[in-house]
Amino acid sequence: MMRTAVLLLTVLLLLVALVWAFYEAPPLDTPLGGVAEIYNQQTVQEVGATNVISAINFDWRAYDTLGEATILLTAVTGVTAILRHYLHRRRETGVS
Amino acid sequence: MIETTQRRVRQRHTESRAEMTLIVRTIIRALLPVILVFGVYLISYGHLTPGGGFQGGMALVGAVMSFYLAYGYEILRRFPHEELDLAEHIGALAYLVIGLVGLFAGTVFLTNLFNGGTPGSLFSGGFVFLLNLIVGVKVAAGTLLVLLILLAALQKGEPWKRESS
Repeated sequence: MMRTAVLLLTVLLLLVALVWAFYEAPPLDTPLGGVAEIYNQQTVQEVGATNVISAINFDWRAYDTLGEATILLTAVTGVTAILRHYLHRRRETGVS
Repeated sequence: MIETTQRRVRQRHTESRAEMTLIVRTIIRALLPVILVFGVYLISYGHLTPGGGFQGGMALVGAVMSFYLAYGYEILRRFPHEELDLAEHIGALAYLVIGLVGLFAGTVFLTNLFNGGTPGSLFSGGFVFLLNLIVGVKVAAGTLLVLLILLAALQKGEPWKRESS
């Protein structure tokens, strides 16, 4: 009962926040300004890629993507190190 | 002798529950080339159309995982862990090497060289294309390796042993 009330209250608050955010958002035809303008206008000439998101990911902000790739590498290495040890031990003792 | 028979029966029992019906298996087998081509398309055309290395790599992993859901754990034994591990590490190294190419060319780290080509054709965008390929291979290999090891740890019986028959 208590959990349902908390859940409903959270959903209600999120709904109000969402509606408020859409109400306060600038209209769609306002100029972008800042770095978004540069991305929008110069990507095709400077990068040659027509997918602007891919161009941002792998050209303008390729350094961020390097970090993302490193996170994946670290996750894979951690899972491999921990669970391979577990599998080896299970093979040696024969206990599943 | 009795022990191996008992073990085989127990193994078959755990794995037969994971296998789906003939309808699901046939549909997954027919859809496999479509999913694989879609994944490779998402990776290789990531600089032109919506998609990219991360998404395409996950589509490739999804093809393998749908095969696992239809056929059970037995289908996953043929994937070599060491080669997937190697592909993951080679991908991470290749990303750094491509970043260093810009440094050796006299500009900054991860500069996009060779960004010529007519916009819209496959060979355009310079390093965006190459990095998409590398990240696609890396994400596919890494995520598949994580899922393979997690599923091997979840299996009862002896998941490291290949079926001799």
